[in-house]
Amino acid sequence: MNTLKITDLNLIYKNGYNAINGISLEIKNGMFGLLGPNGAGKSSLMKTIVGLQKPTSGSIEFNDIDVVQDTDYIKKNLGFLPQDFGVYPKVNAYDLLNHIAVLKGVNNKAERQNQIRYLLEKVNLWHFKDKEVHTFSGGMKQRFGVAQALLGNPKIIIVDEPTAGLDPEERNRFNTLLSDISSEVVVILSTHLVEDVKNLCSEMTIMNRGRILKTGKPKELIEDLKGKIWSKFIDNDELEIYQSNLKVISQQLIERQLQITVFATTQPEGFSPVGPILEHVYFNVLSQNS
Amino acid sequence: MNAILQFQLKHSGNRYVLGLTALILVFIGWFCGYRFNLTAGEGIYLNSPYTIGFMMALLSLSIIFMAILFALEILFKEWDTKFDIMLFSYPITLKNYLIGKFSVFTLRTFLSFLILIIGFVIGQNSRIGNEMQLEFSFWSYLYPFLIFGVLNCFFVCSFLFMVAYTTRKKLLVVIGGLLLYVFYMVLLVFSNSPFMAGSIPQSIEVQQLSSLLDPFGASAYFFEAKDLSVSDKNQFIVPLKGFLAINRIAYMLSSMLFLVISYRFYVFNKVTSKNELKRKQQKVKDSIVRLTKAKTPVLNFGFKSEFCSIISFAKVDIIYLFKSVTIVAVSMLLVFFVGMEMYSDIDKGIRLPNYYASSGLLATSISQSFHLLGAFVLVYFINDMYWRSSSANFYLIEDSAFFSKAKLKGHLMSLAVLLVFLTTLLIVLALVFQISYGYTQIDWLAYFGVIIFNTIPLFLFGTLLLLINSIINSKYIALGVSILAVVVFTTPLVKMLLPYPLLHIFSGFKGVFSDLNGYGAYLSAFSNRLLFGISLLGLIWVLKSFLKFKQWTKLKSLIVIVFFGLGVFGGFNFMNGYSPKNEDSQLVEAVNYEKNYRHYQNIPQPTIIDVDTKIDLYPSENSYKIQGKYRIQNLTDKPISRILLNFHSDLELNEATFRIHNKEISVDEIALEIKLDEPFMPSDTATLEFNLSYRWFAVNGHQSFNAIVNNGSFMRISNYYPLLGYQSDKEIEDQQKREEYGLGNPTSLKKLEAPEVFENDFINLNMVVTTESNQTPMGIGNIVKTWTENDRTNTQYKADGIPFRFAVASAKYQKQAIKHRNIEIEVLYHDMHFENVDRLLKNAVLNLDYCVDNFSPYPFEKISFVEVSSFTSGFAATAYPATIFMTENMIFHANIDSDPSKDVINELAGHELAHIWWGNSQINPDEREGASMLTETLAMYTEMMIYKKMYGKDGMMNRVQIHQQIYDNEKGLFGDSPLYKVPYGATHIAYSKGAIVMVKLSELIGEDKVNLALKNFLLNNQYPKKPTSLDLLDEFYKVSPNKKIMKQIERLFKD
Repeated sequence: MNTLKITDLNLIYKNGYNAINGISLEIKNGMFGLLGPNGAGKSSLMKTIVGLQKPTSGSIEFNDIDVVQDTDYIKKNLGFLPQDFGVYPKVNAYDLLNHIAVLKGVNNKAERQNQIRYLLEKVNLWHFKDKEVHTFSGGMKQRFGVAQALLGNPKIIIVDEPTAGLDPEERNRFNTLLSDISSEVVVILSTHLVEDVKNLCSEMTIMNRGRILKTGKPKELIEDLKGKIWSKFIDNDELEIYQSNLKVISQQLIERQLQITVFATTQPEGFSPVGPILEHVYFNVLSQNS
Repeated sequence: MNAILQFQLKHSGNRYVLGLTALILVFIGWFCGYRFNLTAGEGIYLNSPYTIGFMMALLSLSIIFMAILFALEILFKEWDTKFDIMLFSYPITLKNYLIGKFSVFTLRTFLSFLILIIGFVIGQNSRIGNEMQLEFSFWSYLYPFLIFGVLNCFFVCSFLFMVAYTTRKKLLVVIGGLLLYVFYMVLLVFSNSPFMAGSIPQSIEVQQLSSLLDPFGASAYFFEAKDLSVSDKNQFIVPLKGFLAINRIAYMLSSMLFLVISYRFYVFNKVTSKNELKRKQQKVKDSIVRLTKAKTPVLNFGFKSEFCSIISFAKVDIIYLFKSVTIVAVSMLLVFFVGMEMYSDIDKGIRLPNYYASSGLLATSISQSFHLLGAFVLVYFINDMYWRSSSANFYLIEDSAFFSKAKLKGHLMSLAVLLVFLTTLLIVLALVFQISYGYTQIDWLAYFGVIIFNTIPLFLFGTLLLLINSIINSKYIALGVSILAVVVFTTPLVKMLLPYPLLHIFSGFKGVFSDLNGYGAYLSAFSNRLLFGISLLGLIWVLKSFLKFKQWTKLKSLIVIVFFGLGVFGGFNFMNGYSPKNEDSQLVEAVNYEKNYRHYQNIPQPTIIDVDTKIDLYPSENSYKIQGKYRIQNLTDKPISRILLNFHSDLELNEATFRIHNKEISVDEIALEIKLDEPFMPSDTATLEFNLSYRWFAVNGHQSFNAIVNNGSFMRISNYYPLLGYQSDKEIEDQQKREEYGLGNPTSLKKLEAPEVFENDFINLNMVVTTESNQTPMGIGNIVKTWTENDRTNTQYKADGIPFRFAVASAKYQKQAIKHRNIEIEVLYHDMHFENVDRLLKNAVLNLDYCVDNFSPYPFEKISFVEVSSFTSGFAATAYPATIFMTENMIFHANIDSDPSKDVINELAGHELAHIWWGNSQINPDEREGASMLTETLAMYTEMMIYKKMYGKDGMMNRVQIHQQIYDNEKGLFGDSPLYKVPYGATHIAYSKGAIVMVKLSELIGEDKVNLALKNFLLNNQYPKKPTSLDLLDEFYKVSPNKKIMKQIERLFKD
């Protein structure tokens, strides 16, 4: 069993921005969802875990080894798919994967070849192996990113917005792949897609502005909202009144009509009950802390 | 104004970058104008309308380079920034778009070329020398700028525009540009252009064809100018008619055609190749996930994996590097620039024929320019390479892998590959030059020097740049610091900033290569300094890696010990014998000497009458030892009570004893006053015995006239022998400094009208020269005997009644000799330099006959022409009694066949051999105004007469014409004086004006009469008389038939 333990982690950038604010977490094998809006501090947290930046204070331990001091240890065990990564121009997919595999310590040529082939086939890029990666479309590049993250023998895989740009079919395949791997390793999935977390993660945390707002199992978090979520179609100009009187957690247009969802322990007038979903948990937590 | 043009002009880049680019272009232009000696032909000035046109055509080649860069930037901008989809959704017509694009592209190329030309004009007009005429003509620059600059700019831009917009491939644009360049070079070979002097003369038809085909018009220019005379070329532009006009019009029309094609065949979408299409259409296969197949490889984090990672980093770098268009552009630039340098090193201008395209010459050309250019190239590539991961945003992935720490080492390896590539490119270029000039003797040692003097220092410098980039957190600040590092560490500035020579580890070596001596002691000294540099950077590297990763291993300790050891070893070896130059203390020494001893000018001093000496040469150790014994006599009629003895400060004075009146005085100072208890009476004799030694070290550099080197040594060794009395040549010449130290006026040259002098200052020289057994020791005078003893070769030389002026040489020689008039004439030369030996012997015979028949008998038993290495410079040849020393790189090994009208071998035989009569032993002119007229002018006269004998009067007049040009030019720069009062060092008067005047004299009174006068001059002015130019004039007057002619003669010499 692998364990990632984060204690009291703080990261303040040079310009004074507090990107991570006293985060503590313990993550074991399995998929862990990290949910939060853009700018919540997810990417900062991930970069800090993988050793690309040093925290201002606090500790990160992986399998009881302090990886803030010994970044080598986490790098030996890591698969990382950053958000919005680029690639070297002029280098083809196979060569670039080969390069990363070598850097990850796969020094046996045959093993390297096998794994690259396996992963390229898995992400459906084998036929594009000789094509320069910088000419890939967004989805292809993302698949390439997935393949490189799985190279070597990672015990902790950190993926930042992995399904961005993937079509539904590719996204499904990727999710299945991750889910399967996660039985033996720690997988941290950072996303703002609630659906992915719902489908994949056994544990999750919601964060915003560098803080953890809520941590738990998705099922239990949903359970907590049972009987507390209500919705109603309203006119656009009524929104302000509802917002001042009720706790509106989300609003959306359905067939051009505005529907609002509110959190309330008792049924507000004119609202109909809604079975809670993870999205409600997410919006509820965010609105509670806004 | 066209909207596209307007927008592009407004956003054409950062103005600082533009300003810097303009500055660089002005500098390059200035450098071309100031430095390049591309003479268009004999007697044609560098700033003649003809040469300017030719240079402009040549410089217009640079338009290709500029246009390629601008094409890549401007023409592909919309696609690069993915703005094309939006742009073409706006209501803009393709025609307007293309007009806008073409205007901005051509305008920027044109402006860049204009700036380059402005630099060129400034550079050319700031140079002085006999290859420049004085007037400045604006039209001479504007005309070729219009017919070459403007038209070629239009042509190149429209051609590249067509390639870019009909293919949309950057690589094809670069290749297209490159092909234009190659096409032009090939045509030039067939155009009989002076630029390709070594090429085979072509028939008129071929020349006409190449005139029509040459897209840059240079061939047509040469063809139209072929019938113009030298003075036409110097005065008038080559008119735009005939083939030149047809060519220019034809290429203007083709340029327009290219633009039409660009419009008609414009490609909106990038062409997709069939293969690409196939790959794109690939069906998604294997969509079922079979997780059981997941492979989990074994990871290894040991040394082998690290090594693989280094290789992998290097591999990725190299793929990127060699797929980029920049490497093509940089290679092109280097080849062009160094190629020009090579060409101008082979072409020696109006007076001398071409040099042979030898490995040494070309290797030196590479070293002249590669190092600095290479340093700038590295600044760009290393900055680009180091920051690519972060600018491509790949660092998040790369840096999170364990072996990301191997990155810097990977870059180091890529740096090595890049440098090997560039070095190989230049060496191949040199080999191409060698083969195309038909000089196929390849000396790999010369090219090895290119690696030691350029590649490895550049590797070290690249390492420094990598460290700079890795320490500084910003790409652009790192770039700025890197450029600063180039200026500080790789230019001559380093000598000022870091005076300690061991620290110049990034500097190149721009010294000589000698076929006889290779790079001499400099190669090993330089290698030792490199060893120190490698060790120093190695230690810094290890320290930096420790500070970053905070890990210390046994391996690191071992590396530190090894580097430290090698560094100390290299450093000590390099600095061995270092003596810092201190100009202030040298100045003070000279001041003190003058203050203390100048009064000796008026104190009678004894004279050296016999020199008995043994000189042991140790070429392989760069050292020699001298044992000597002078017999000294008081030849004055006054008793002498004080003697001033001077030893040369470069030599170590081991021991010296002055013996007089059975007393011994030991001497241990380099300048010593000996006060005698008992006066040295007239006719009394004394002796001075001394023991001196000398060795030079590469760290201090060698002295050109004291060059004891491994092979081909030459020493004007009498300069380093002890001398008696005050030596006025030690005085400081700078008037300001003299005033500062209160020194008054320096010793001036004696006036011509000063009283006649008889002085017994000739010596009898008995000299034994010994050297290492595989070399031949060369001295002056007749050979007494040669023998071998203790594994050394010894030769005894003897010359009686010669001035105190002797030299020695030593090398491994080939020898060719003939006997003529019972005189042995021999040439001792390096085995690779056989080409002119027969010619030299033939010329020597002619000259000997001429001088003996007309002047007086030859006073020695032999004549030796001895080649010495180019470590000695400052003369092409120098004559001593019975021996003439010639440097290998000036005349003796010039390619006479490249231009038979420049028979410089005759200068060796005609001029230098004539010095045996004029200045070496037969007469000894007094040191006063006009003295050079009795040596150099008369030697020039003899040279001209021999030339006439060999090539007829026209041949001789051609040479006289060249001297007229040299004289006309230099008198405007260095002043004029009547020939009979020529001061020392005024070579344009003694040599050039001298030749003109003497040829005129021979036309005036006839060659026979001149020779009769010269014969009488020799007879009537024999030693110990010290003749002056007036004595010679007297002899000319005596043979002149009447007063009128006499007046004319007087005017020739006194005007």
